[in-house]
Amino acid sequence: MKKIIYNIASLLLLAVFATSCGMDNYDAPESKLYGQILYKDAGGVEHPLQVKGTGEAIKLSLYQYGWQLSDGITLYADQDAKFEAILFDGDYHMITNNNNGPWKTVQISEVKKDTVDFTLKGSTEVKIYVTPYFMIENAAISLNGTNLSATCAVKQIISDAAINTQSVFISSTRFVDEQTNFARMDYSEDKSAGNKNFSFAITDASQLKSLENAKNRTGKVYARIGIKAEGADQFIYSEVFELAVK
Amino acid sequence: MKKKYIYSACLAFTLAFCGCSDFLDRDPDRILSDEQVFSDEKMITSVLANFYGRMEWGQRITDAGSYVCLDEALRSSGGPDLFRTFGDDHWRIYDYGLIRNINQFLASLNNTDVISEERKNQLRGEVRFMRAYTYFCMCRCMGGMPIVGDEVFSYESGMDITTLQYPRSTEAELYDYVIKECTEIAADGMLPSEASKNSARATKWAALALKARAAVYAGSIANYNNKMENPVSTPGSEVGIPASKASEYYKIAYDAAKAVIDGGVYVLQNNISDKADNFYAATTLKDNNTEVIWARDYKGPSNYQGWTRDNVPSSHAEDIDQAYLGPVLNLVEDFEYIGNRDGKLNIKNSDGSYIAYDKAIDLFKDKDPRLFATVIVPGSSFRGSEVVLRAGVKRNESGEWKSYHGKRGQDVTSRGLIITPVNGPMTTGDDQYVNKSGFFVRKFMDETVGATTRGRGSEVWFPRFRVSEMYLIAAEAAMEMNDQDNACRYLNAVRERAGIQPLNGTITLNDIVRENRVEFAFENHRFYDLKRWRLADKLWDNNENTSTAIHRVLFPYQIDQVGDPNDLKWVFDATTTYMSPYPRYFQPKNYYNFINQDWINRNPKMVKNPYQS
Repeated sequence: MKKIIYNIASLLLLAVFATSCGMDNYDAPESKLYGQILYKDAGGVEHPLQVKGTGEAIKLSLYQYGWQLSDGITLYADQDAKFEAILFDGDYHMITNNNNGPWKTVQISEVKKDTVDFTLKGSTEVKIYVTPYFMIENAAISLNGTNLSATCAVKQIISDAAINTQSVFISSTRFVDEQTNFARMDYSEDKSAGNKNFSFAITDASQLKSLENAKNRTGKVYARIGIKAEGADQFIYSEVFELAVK
Repeated sequence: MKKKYIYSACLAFTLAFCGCSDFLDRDPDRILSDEQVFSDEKMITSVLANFYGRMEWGQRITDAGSYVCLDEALRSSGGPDLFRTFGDDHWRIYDYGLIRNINQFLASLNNTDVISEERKNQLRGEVRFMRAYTYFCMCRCMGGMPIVGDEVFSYESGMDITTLQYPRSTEAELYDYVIKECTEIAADGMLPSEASKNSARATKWAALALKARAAVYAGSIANYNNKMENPVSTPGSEVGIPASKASEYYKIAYDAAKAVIDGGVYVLQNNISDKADNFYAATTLKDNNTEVIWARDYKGPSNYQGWTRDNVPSSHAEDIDQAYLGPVLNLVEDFEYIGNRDGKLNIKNSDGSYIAYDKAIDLFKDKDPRLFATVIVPGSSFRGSEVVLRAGVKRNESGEWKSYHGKRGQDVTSRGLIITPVNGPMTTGDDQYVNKSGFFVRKFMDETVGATTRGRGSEVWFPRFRVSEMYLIAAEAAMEMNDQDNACRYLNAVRERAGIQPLNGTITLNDIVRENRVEFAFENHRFYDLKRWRLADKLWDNNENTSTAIHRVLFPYQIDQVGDPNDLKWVFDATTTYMSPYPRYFQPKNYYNFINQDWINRNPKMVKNPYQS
């Protein structure tokens, strides 16, 4: 009697182990959606944009028609305004928020407004075009001891935009923005487009301490210039500059 | 053989009889049916108690942590508070359960005959007030929401559920609904005009106060939303009110506020000559109170609240809990001086040297008396004895003042002065139950013995509407309608009661913002006021260099330098704080909470809010 029970039990257990790997009814998605948010100027030239990549700042929502629930899939842009997702093949539409990001979205058509439709098959690239309020060009940042100097040319793209804040941010990692920094300096003179020359003499005790920590840890800090337009919810930035701390 | 059968037959027989007990046929002893409730007047009134107790939303004294988010106080106890961004559902209110219960109550009230029609109308007024207040609270969080009126929905299997799905109203429609309801229930024959005990129940004046507040909110949104660079709105106006409607809302607000003021049942309490004591009595003490129109009342032994217990100065604590919140220097400096509108404290001379004071409290000489009723400053007293706040001592070493801190209540100087008393403040560290801002809370703090014990608590109320809000609404509405005479009159009435100089220039929005800030500190006004004036994203802009965005604290020191002319005098350091390292970051998307996806899944007619999709 015991023997029979043991045999049956071990057979059942074997059956469970053998088939348990096949419990999932769907395979994981494998198709890669990747893309970038860009500015395409009147001449058709594409310009990359630099934004806040931390804290889920720039949101893109993906939707598909024809399913029971209407929840979207949210993608977030990184500091280079690039995004990526692994999804199933299908027809999607992507929505950016007009007031989310240092830009105005581009109307694609009267009906669809700024929604981008695309079909995802295998690895697909999608470019989202927007019109930023300002762009920062020819940026250069250098650090000499505790004096930082930043120059750039701020170009006005949307004609009636005004500058609200112009700042320089320093962070101890490659992530630099209005929220991720250990030092920040705002410049209130001359809030108009054109060539900018910002200097930042670091004197605050806690900022000097952070600088010292970065020097001992990696020997480098990172900085960016940021311009925030009136009415925008975020800054547009220059590239991230890696600075050696002496 | 036969015996076996007889025995089993007997067994079966007996079993058959005792197998059926009434166990499963009992009446529920926890659920009261409609007939049971609505056949007794006391039971009907008790339903109201349940309704009143369910409107516990947002910043309130039973949730001390809620005050840390803004610019009133920081968390003193424990480690730093890392609050920076506001969540998409921060303080979001959504309570259609309560609205449904109120509608059920109204329906059942129609059918009962144990109370008079007159009494029924009073009860109808009360629950409709609560319903209007619920809608108002949802509206100021999310904009327009489905208005279900008096409907009590029922579901039968197979019915068309799209008839149960109401779309969101426009923001203006929802404010209009609240205003209309309040107007109807404030009419004669419904809500009573006599004050209720401890202002706990709705009266005609509470309804008019809610009407005034709803109207001024709608007016400010119509006005200031459209003045933003990028107005916050949805295409269907679920969020966003046309600018053309601003003046009519301001008029409604002005008239309703004036009706409460002229009604005379609630007046600006002003019968104590010491203006600080007067303001404390007006906001915190219930006896002979003429100020508070509607409050969340507390009464022991089952309904105590722990605000005093959580926030009491260590030197006056009767139990373990103490010093949870520390009011911030930002709030203290927003209070004006009696004769000077700039409230900045004079800590240093223009050359950077310290200004020394004989006593700590001298730093606050001639400050707005309301400061002393809102905040316990170093050297003021609580429950009859002094609250000593001293971070440490300062000694001059080769021309520089160096700070020394000691173990609280223990380390002494060579002359026997305790370096850091029990109250602290501690300048840094993760210690629990110790002050770290230099100030304690005073508003709503109970001086009754036993109020700070864990066994007891406090019966101090939490005011929701006060008559001085009516004065400030009237002043704001008058200002917006270019009626400077009345704007001055009402604003100065509040300032005069407070004990500070009247204003005689042109009243601007900034004056209204400042007065509301200091009059209603800790009363759950600040967040919604800055939202409706569309100032929140400017003041709380995520910039640690913006003085309104980052918490600052004040550390008092005594000079310990024998022979120095300022020996044993008090000096102060104002700095940013370890306890709130991040500035407040209010983003344009925070003006309206996001609509929960679950609600949309059940009711696809609900539209998402701006910045949400």
